[in-house]
Amino acid sequence: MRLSKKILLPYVVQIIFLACVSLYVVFRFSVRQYAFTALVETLSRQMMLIDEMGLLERELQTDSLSYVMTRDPATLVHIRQLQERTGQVLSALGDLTEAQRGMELLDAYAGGRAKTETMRQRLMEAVRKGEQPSVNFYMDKWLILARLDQARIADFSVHMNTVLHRELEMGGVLTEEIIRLLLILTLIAILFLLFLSFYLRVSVVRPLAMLTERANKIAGGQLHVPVGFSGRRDEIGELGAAFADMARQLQATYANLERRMRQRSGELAVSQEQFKRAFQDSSVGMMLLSPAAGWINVNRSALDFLGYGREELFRHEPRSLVHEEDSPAFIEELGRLLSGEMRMSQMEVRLLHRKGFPLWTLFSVSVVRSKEGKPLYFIAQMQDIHRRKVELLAQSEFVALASHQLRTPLTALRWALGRAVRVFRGASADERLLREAYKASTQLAAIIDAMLTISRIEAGKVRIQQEAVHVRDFLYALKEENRDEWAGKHLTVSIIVPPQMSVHTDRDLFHECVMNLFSNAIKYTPQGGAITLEARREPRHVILSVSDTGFGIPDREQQRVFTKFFRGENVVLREPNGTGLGLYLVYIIVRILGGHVSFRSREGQGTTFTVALPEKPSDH
Amino acid sequence: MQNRIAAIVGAGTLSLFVLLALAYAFWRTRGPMPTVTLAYPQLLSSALLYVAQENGYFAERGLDVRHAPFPTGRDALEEMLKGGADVAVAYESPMLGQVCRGEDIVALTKIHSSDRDTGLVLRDADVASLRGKRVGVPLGTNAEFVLAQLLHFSGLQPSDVVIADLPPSRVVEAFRSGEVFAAAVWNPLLQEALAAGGRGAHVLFSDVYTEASLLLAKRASLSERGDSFVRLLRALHDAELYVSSHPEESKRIVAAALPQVSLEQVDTLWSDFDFRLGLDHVLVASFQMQAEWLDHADRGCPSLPDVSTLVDPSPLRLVDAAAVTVFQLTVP
Repeated sequence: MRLSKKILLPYVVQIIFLACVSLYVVFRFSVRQYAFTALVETLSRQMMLIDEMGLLERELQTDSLSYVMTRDPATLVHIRQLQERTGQVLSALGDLTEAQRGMELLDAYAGGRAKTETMRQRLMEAVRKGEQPSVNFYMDKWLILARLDQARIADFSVHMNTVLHRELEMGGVLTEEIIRLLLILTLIAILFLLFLSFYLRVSVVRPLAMLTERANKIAGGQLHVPVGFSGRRDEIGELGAAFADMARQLQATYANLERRMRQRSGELAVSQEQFKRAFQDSSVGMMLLSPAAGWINVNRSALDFLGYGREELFRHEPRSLVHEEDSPAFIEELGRLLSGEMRMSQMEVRLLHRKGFPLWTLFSVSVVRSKEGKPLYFIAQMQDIHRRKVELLAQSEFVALASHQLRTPLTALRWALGRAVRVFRGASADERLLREAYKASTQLAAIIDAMLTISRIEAGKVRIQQEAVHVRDFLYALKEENRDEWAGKHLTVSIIVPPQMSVHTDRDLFHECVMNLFSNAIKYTPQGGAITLEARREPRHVILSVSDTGFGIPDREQQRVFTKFFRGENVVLREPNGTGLGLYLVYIIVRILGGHVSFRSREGQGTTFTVALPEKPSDH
Repeated sequence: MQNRIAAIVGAGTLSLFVLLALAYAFWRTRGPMPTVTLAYPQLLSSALLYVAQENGYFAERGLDVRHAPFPTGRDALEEMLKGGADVAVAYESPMLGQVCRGEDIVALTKIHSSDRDTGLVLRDADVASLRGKRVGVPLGTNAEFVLAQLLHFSGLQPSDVVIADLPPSRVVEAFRSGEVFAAAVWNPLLQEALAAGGRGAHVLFSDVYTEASLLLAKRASLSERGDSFVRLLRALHDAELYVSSHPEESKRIVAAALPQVSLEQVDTLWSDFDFRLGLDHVLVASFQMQAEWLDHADRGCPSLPDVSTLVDPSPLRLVDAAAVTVFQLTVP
């Protein structure tokens, strides 16, 4: 039998037993008590009536009435009244008597009384008629009948008295019986509980305690402790068997784990040695930094690059090796890595050589995390880009200088060509040539402006002047500024912007950026198209988008959109005057403003460029 | 395993010894059954005796009963008084007659009662017309008391008629032959006499008398034979219950026990009898009436006995307490 049933069954049996016995006792006691009380009341009432009847009968038997029968009306009336009263009492007794024997006795009495009454009437008749012989005979008979009535009522009285006493004794017996029953019940319940307690201790508690003790030994490392209960097929037996299985599996797992740990330890040692060698012997400079940007390790190449010995380098904070102009961006980048915002960062920073001069470095950093995601350390690679960077800066400076130097003669050239176009208006052949030359000079000026701006930015010579720019006013001003262009092509320009929205940024660069996007949209949207300028706020960023219903960018060219001199194949013939520098300029402006730019385009349907800029200056 | 077998064998042996000891003790305590000689009239009124005997109730109650049947209770009582029986069954009249002669006897119980058993059969006349005529009756029986009552209530004295003392067996023939003009007797002789009387014969019963046949014993024997009498009463009580629940079977038993009575007669008369044990005030009142009659008739009863002492309800109370409704003796 299952243990749960074993435990449950005795309780159920006991509960049923107790319930049945209790119900029996209560029922028996209450029913009998009620019946007993009612019966005793009835019998008591009956005894009173019987006593009255006996008295009436005796009064009829008195000598004054029985033997001295006269014509005195008072005597006759008295006898009649006594008879009537006995009749009433008899009737009352009949209502109260229920027991068979009692009823038989009462019936016998009633029958006798009927005879007595008949005889009385005859006697009275004889008395009234004065028939003395008849009076004597009737009197004798009446006396005998009355005496028998008295005897019968006495029998009835004794019988009912016996019944009453028997019931009273039964009441006492019943009480004793109930007390005895309750005592027996209590004794049985106590014995049963003792047995149950012993049974549970032997069947359940002791095996469980044994299991607990063995579990503690196993937990203490004694894996070979014997477990299980042979011969038991209940839950305890199953528990013991499961426990034995668990112990065996634990032993096997433990042995396997030991073997694998030995294997893994060897592998780990090899791996650590390999990593150590790769780290130390790498031709690329490498650093391991703590999450708080403290030193953990640095390899030989990095030490050589920076000109330090290991101990000497470790006396300096890592951040103190970063050029002061690059330090804020460097710190911010590390913070983003720690927060999980990005997994890897690549930045161009200037590290300070031991002798104090800066060295341009491509610094690639990632975070190594635990399984729980907790940052363990930074691992950084330093790539020496100093020579290339210096050359690039020199090149940018040259371009800037050249552009600046070209602008003055080009301005003079444009002015002269413009003047010539107006002077030679009407001379068709010369005018067309002059007009083409003027347009070419204008485009050249635009290219030179763009190149100048790009060069200045790349050379790091642009100083960002942050201020609050009211976006709504800004966009409406931009729309008005270009009215001739979009109105001339019958374009619809819509602006969607929250009323009080502003962004902290450099107004000129922001204008250059948005102007380029808006200008492209006008340029590459056919007649009657639509342009939408929309601004909205997102957490920590202001989003500005420029959408058009223009020619779109072919899918195959979308990855080159932000490169220098990019122009879509589908628009070169339609609009030959583009410089190919506008989107690249947008890209680098957004970068130095701390934001990012993206686009979504389908050829023939239109393009949407989206610029996300930090909302606050601290986010730059 | 061997220990278990040894334990089982040991327990079995011990149990056997205990059983043998109990059987021996039971046999020693049981002993031989007491013997009671019972004298009684061979009448329908003795039905409980026949049923108890037939159904083995006496033996069941541990009593060996020896039967001494007689034509009348009067004869049975005389047998007991002579020492021929331990107990006797008789009606009140013979009992009171013996009490008046100084015999110290008590009634242990009624075994029947009836008010239509003993009567007067007569031809073409009422009781008043019996003056000077010959009336047959077994003297010393309750039939004589019934006759006296009927004469009295008709304005006659026993001396106004000629009393012929007849044995019961002769009553019917004497009435048929005209030897007597009327006869007082009990059933079934009463019915036989009625049949023999032919056209005009009729029966009168007293309307103030209920007869009873009584189990009588000498007062002196109560102390030494009390246990036997209780056993006897228990057997009769068993018979009473059987008669109540199996009336038809009881009639057949009684008819078989009375050769001179047919089953048809038993069946006809059965409803006039109340076969129940009991001691009550009606019986005591009946004693009183008969004692007064004996005194009044100058039948040699020098002093009227205290009739309430003529019953001893103690044995019956042990058997069936509800059957005892007389209480004079229980209150000192």
